[in-house]
Amino acid sequence: MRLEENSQLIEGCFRLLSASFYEPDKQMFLEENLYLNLSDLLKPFDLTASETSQKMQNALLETDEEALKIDHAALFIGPFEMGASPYGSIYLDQEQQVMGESTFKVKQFYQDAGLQVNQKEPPDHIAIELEFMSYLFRLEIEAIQKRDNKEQKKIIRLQETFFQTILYPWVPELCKKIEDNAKTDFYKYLASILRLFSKEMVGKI
Amino acid sequence: MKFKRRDFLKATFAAGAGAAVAVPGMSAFAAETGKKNRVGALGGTWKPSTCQGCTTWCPVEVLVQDGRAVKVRGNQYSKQNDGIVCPRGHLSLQQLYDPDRVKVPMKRTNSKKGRGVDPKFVPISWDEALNTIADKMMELRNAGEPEKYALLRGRYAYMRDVIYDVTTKVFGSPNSISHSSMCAEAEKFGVYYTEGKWAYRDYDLDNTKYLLVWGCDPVSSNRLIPASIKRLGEVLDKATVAVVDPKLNNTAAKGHEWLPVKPGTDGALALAVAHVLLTEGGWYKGFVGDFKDGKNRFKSGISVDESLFNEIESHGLVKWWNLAVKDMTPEKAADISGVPADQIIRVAKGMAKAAPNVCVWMGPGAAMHPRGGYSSMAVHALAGLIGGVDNKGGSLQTAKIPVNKLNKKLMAKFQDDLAKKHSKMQKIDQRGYLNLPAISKGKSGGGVSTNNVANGILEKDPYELKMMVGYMNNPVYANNGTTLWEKALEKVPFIVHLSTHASEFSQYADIVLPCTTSMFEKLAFTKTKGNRYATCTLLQPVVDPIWDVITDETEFPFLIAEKLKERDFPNLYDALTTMYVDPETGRKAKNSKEFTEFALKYYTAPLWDGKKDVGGDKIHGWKDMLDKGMWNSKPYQYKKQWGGKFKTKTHKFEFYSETLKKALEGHAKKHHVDVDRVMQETNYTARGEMAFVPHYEPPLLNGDRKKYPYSFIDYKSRLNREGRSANSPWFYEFKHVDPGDVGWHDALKLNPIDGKKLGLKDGDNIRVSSIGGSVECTARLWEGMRPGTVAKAFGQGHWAYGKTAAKDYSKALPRGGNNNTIIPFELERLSGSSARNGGHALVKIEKI
Repeated sequence: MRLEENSQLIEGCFRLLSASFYEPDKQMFLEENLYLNLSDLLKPFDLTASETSQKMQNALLETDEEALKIDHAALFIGPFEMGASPYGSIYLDQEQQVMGESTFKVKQFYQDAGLQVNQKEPPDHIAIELEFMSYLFRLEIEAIQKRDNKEQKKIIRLQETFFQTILYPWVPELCKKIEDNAKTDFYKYLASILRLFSKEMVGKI
Repeated sequence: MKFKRRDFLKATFAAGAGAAVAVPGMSAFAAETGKKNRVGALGGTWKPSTCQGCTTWCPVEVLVQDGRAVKVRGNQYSKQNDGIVCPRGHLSLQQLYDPDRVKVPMKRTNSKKGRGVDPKFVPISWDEALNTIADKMMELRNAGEPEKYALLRGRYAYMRDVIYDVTTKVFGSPNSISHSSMCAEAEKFGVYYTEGKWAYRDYDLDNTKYLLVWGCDPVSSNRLIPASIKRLGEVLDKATVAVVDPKLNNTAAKGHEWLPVKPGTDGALALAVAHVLLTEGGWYKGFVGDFKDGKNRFKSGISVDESLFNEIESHGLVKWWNLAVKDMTPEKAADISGVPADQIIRVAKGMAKAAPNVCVWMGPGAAMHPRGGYSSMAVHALAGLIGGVDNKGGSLQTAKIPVNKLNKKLMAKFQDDLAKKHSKMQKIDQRGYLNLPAISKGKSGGGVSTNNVANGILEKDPYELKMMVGYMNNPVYANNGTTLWEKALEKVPFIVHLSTHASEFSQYADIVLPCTTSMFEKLAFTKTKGNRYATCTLLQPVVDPIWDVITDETEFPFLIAEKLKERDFPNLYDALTTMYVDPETGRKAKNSKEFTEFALKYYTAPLWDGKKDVGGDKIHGWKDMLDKGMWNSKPYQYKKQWGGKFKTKTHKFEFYSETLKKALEGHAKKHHVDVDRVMQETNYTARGEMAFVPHYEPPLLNGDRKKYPYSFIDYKSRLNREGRSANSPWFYEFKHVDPGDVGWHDALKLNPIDGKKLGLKDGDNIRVSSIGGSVECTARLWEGMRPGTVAKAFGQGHWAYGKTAAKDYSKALPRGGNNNTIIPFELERLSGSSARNGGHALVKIEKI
């Protein structure tokens, strides 16, 4: 069984990665030392990812907030073609539309966990799926703290299924699109970190 | 996405194992509330709405499962479409769930505007967007120049009054500009100046014995598509179907006669049909009348004494014959139009035999030419000659839909002096100028000339335009002569685009606002007709919007009104909340959603409030209206206009148009010139009395035939959802449902004879160039084109759009070519229409 500390680290990684796909708020990210913290969290899993997160902190310092916002919008919002569509269904469903069949599987996972999305976005937005992973790790930490092995096992199974059948199948392609189309180092680094971390997680989740 | 809480960014690793962790709150989730069925457990519900994929405006139902729209059918109550939809209805799902939709309000951060220039859009809050817009509006009012604001509407529903009339006029601008003249005002022109009705017609397919389709394809585009698809088989069994079109369209492919007319020569062909009908005595005497002694004096080339003829429901037949028909023999028309004389005679005789149950179904292909006003009249005159006007088996006017109208008197109370004065100023499209009569409904400058807005902007005539709000439109793509619009939009300092999808117009916008899709997310109503039934049908939000969208026609005005009120201009807010109170409770709206509902209730109340028997379907209250989603009238009564009730000057069907004469003389007088001068200024060749009758005008052509040897024509795909399916993969995947077209290609169709001449084979990449511009597409050799004419479906060639429609947005590379780049700027000036048909664009074709 996984140790609580490990689960805490993974929870944090997923959550801060999730946060990185929101509209960038340079000041808040800096004040929270977001990428230095992420770097620390990543260290036990992947040194390159951890180092890249430090570079990301520097890129954040050096890039205008407006440039970050422009790049973020061009990659993940539009209004024209998005450089890297943030929706899972675009990568997983033949139709490449939002709210596709795969989106509904995602929605079922959330519902089974007693959650509903309260953002105006499809449930398979990368930020939301990453947060759901962090949530599943938080549940695991709670189970560990309650010493409820049975519950922990159940949650681990859920983590495995969600990560391996929902999230991971499209993350590498998303990362490639970000790397190909991002204009700022900040987002190129984000793609690199997400790729490395999620690959690392394949054996761990 | 914005953070809901900052602690989401906190790291928790420092806490260590076993320590109490300060758990950060969730950002994108909330606990599920209430007891809900498991996703996927239920079969779904059919919910009523309206399809606006074409102007049929079908009442539809959408199957909604777990909040997701999955299927579309016609509204089961509909007597217009009998509960079925055409392919567009199904295709609409890919518009709703298009990942490239506008999702949040956005502003440009790059002040330079132009094709291929990245506007560098970033998301902004609704508050910032609305404050910026309101500030710009107040700047204009404070400078005493509210006329420099313009509202351009695209695909509207009937809540349009709120944004188009009330908002613009109370603010103080004359510039509420419709898109209508890009559609088919020249077609309405022909009908108005003969039959006295400025509207599209209904057609009685169930009872027709001869269907003459002219310049359109009823089973794939135009206005009654599902009804036509359902009925065409039966019509083919019991009637003759003849189709006039340079291209073998869907209806022609099934029909008995295909008349492959040379583009722009429709007037000659129509007159020749009239010539045969008259010389052979085949006109319908019950409508037109007869020679007093019953002896036919219509002999080719010979004038007739008017006093010998006794007309019944029509006016000026003999004058028309003498001026325009007597010399247009089938042989002469065959020379001009390329349609064989024997076919002209056969069709005319067939019509005569079927009279009066003859349906002359005219579309824009017969009318939207540079000189199409008169060919439109000529084609519709055939409907009169054969007695099929407003008659069983013919073309029909429509039953009334008794909804409430805009209360203009009440609106005027909220206009201050500045608004009153400036909202009456000359409009930016130069309508009513000597060379642009736009004489809709008889009034000089009474109609719109959407395409000419670009000239108004560039020439700063009548003034400089400083602010433009456009909704569900894309003028820089959808008007012929796209380069003119590209230049014009670069000059407008502040543009707001309200839309579901960003497009070329958004490329020039300062703010782009995300809007509801009309079929799935919007609350509004439309009026429509078909199969003799007039219909009021609601657009309803059958699913919760995925993104942060508003309803363009009602929410935007309300939200702006609130902001203008904060800036000491409360008039619009007061106007909206007073004009559109809840008719049931008398309550004023407190927010934009409530306002939308109250406004819809205001307009539709007579259909459901039970205060008066309005005929047609009985609707029991507002909830019943929402549940049924529509109202059907009683069937339209034939011959309602017969007996001297046509709304022309003479109250008759006019072959010699006293109505047009009055209108043209009025326009000439306004400019202190004569009608001949008006004809000259509007590019027509007619002089003298000829200006008042349907006649043949030689086509005006753009380009030298030696350099540009082919006539280019545009047509609409059966998958074209009013220009908004361009980013839907199905639009390309199923492209082959248009005869001659190829899936995933933008194919220029040309006859194999021409292909051989040019050394082209199927699938070759080609460049098509006119004096207007060049596009690249694929060659398709196809026998369904008349030699010398080439055709391509409208709808591809987007350089600024989503990932499917644009080949590479970042490089402004289009997928396929935009027909409006090939077709140069040109107007039919009498109606103000965009001349997008008639083959005036001559092109050359090169292999690349």
